[in-house]
Amino acid sequence: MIGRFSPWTAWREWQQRRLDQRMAEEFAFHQEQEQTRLEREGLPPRKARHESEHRFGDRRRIADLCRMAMLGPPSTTPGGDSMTWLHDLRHAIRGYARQPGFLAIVVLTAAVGIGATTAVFSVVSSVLLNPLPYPQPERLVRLYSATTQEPDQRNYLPAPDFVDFRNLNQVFTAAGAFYDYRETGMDLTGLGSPLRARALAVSSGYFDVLGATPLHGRFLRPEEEIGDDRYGASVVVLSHHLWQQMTGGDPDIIGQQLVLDGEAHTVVGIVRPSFLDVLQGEVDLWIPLNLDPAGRWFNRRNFYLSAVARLAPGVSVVQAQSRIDSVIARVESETPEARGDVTVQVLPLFDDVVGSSPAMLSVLFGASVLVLLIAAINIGNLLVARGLARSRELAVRSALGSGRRRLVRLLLLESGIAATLGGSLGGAIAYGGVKALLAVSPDSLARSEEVAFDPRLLLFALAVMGLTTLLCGLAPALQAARIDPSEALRGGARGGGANPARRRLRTALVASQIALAAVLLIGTGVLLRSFAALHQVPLQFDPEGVLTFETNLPDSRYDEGAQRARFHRQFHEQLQGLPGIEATGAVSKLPALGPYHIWGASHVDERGEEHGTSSEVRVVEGAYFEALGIPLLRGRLFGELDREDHPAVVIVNQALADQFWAGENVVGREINAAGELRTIIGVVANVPYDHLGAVRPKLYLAHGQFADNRNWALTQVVKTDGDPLNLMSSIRAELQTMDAELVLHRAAAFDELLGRQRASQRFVVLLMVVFAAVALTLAVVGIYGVLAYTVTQQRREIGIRVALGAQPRQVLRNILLQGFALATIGLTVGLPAAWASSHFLDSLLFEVTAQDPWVFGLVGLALAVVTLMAGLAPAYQALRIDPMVALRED
Amino acid sequence: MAQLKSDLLRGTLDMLVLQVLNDGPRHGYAIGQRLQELTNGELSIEQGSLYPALYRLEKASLLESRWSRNPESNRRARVYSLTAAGRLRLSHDVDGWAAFVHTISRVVPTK
Repeated sequence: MIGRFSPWTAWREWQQRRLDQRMAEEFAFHQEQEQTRLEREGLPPRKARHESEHRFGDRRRIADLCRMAMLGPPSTTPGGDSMTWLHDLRHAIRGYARQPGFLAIVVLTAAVGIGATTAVFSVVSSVLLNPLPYPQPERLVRLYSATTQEPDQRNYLPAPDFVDFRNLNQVFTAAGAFYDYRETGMDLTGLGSPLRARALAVSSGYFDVLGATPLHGRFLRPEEEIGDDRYGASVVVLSHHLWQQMTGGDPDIIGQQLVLDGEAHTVVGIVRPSFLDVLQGEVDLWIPLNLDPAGRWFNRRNFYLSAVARLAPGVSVVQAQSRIDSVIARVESETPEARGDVTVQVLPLFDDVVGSSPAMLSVLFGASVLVLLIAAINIGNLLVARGLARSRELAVRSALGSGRRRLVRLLLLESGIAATLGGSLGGAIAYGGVKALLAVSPDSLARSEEVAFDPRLLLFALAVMGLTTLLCGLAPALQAARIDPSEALRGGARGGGANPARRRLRTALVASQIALAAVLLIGTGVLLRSFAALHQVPLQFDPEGVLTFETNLPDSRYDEGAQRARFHRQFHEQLQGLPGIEATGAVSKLPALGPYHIWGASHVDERGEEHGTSSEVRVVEGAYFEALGIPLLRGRLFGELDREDHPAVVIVNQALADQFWAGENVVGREINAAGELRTIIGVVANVPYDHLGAVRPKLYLAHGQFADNRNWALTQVVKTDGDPLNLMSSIRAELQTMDAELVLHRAAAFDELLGRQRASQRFVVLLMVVFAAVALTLAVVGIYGVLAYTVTQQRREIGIRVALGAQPRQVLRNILLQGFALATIGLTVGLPAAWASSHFLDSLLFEVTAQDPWVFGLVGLALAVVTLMAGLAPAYQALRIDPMVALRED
Repeated sequence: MAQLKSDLLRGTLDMLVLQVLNDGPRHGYAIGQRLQELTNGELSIEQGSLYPALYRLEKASLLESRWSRNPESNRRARVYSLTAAGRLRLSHDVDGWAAFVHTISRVVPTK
């Protein structure tokens, strides 16, 4: 027996004990002090003690007053009505024990609803809602160049602009620039086998902006922003993982030298393992940028820096923007020719990083709310049903003198038990669900260390469930308390639950459940169709069996374009000799992985008018088109002779040819591109530049003719006749024979690279499928529950009808018809609702409309079938009712 | 006369305690001693009756208290100090008291 235990009493008792202890100690101290003083005045110890006790006064009375002051008046009813509470609790538990199936369904429904919603939302919220793992992320902004014509452009900043802005101390507490115009790989040598590291050149304030502190050593300093070329002093900050990988975590590496691209660099710092560079992803090491005003990179026409800054406290984005605008105006007035129409826009980092995800977010949020609603309705349904069935019991209790309060409390306790069990199980499901979702989430979401099960969301889900349980659990109680007991008892004898108003309520609940499920299923169906369509994008090239990798030619040894071109040709020649390799080439940016260099191109027509367009530019080397199987439509491909000392040539895609000379022969015509008048030698098929299959005008330059422009970081493309990754080691060996210092990195099968692009879409679809499955299951449970209950309620009626000679088929049809009616009502509401809400999906869809008739038809049919199926079991049960037994019940 | 004085004082004990603590944290005994000192020993209340007042003020968040080692004794002493709210209340009370004394002194002549 727990007796009269209650947490409240226990808490009070504990507090009182603590207070009594405190008083005892405090009063004793007081008295002792007084006694000592009296002794010092000359009183003998015994007398002093007596006197001090007297002066202190009545201890018990004072202690009582203190207790009153601290804890308030003592409770008049110690333990409260814990006896009756306990009694009701036992009663509630006994009630459930009689119907374990009912409790199980309620708890499972609540658990699945709470669990699925919380799990999905935990992942979505940590990845999409909190994408910035930095202190006070709301103060972080990006700075972009734009133009007065296109103020929304997000272009790179010139270095002088950045330096001007970072000196605005009242606006920014810190500002950092980084160089991500192209990805910088560096060869790390001198420590065992050569390593390819991802380097990021940053200004001194970069880490301050992101609120990072070094694990060892220090970060970069302003005086290190001076160097010969693009980069500053020869110092380097290492990432935690590179440091671990290289030294096993030896802090003594600070001050030692590493060789990067053939040049010695001093290690000055190590970042913390918790530091995440969301701007750049995985970076292995950071080196200083050259921001020397005397350097050749430092001019207002050279747009090459990315910038991020931390707003000073109390400064808004708008205020920062206006301060920057005034700086720009000042610069313009001082040196009008320097700026042109270039402006700068300040953008919150959050908006910049999250970019297009709000649509995806709202869809997932909507879906999780729908699932939660469906679960809540389901539970409500079950509770209402149970309440109706119990109206007799409640009436009896009411007649026996149970006050309304008592009845309400009993029902509250019952709801509470169900909610607690469902909530705990739901929490467990959510916890496991987060883990499971992370396991299947794409790399782009793989910031797993940040994804955590979010207890706030669990609380929200619990609150929704709790509220539903309370409302639906209470409704029958209040009703019962209002009903005249004698009437309820008489009604019960005639087979209760036949009340048409109540039946309507339940029908409405189930119908709304079907409607919500329809909305969710249709949304999922449309997304699935879109996803399938995405996979059927005609790529116009064949990524199968293609290996891609990069190898960087360090400027220190491959200074001249001709050297680099020669290297590629020789390398391709050597690879051609390997068995299993069909074609080799290289390109400045692989297709379908996003836009890259967008440059202007123009031509002058017969009348002397100039026509321009913007065009994707790719620099290619070797048998690139053959390796990817990009069809040549007219003319020829690049050859051995398209070198520096030969006429400038270009290959265009069909889209560019159509834009300038639709329907005409373009081979042999001239086009102004990449700073020169070039002759078109061939037209190739359109190849999409992003994974959604979008096509733009595109032109290809021969690396042999354009190698001097810059050290092109070419991606090698090798067509093999088998599994491309099997050839890795022999390709690596060939590379080593040419130059032992070179590193082969970022090797991948091209079709896997393409698949990764689609992974985040797949993730959304997966989540929606999970939601839809949960919704469908809950809907089936709900429909089944209602029909099963109806049958139980109608046992007498069915019994009578069977006794009067009704055919089993008629009984069966009757029940199935009821189910069908439910489905019809639900779909009548649900399909238009899905239609109305489908525009939320539009921005996520590819080549299907949100109002896809196939999906609507299929979902409607499926739900109808499911409803009928859910009705079968109760119908079968009805048929087995023995008329005599049914009639004798109650 | 002494009885009247102590009644008056009892009503304003809270303010006196706050005023004493305004000079810095003290334990209960020291607060009592300081009150005696300031009133030239004319404040004749039971020493213990200070504590309900202290507890009431602490409950009202005007004071806070914590244990502190006392060098002269082997016992811990509970040391009280003013909270920000206590400081604010004290300044209100002092203003009110000054206004009260001012008003009364215009009616009742002081000796």
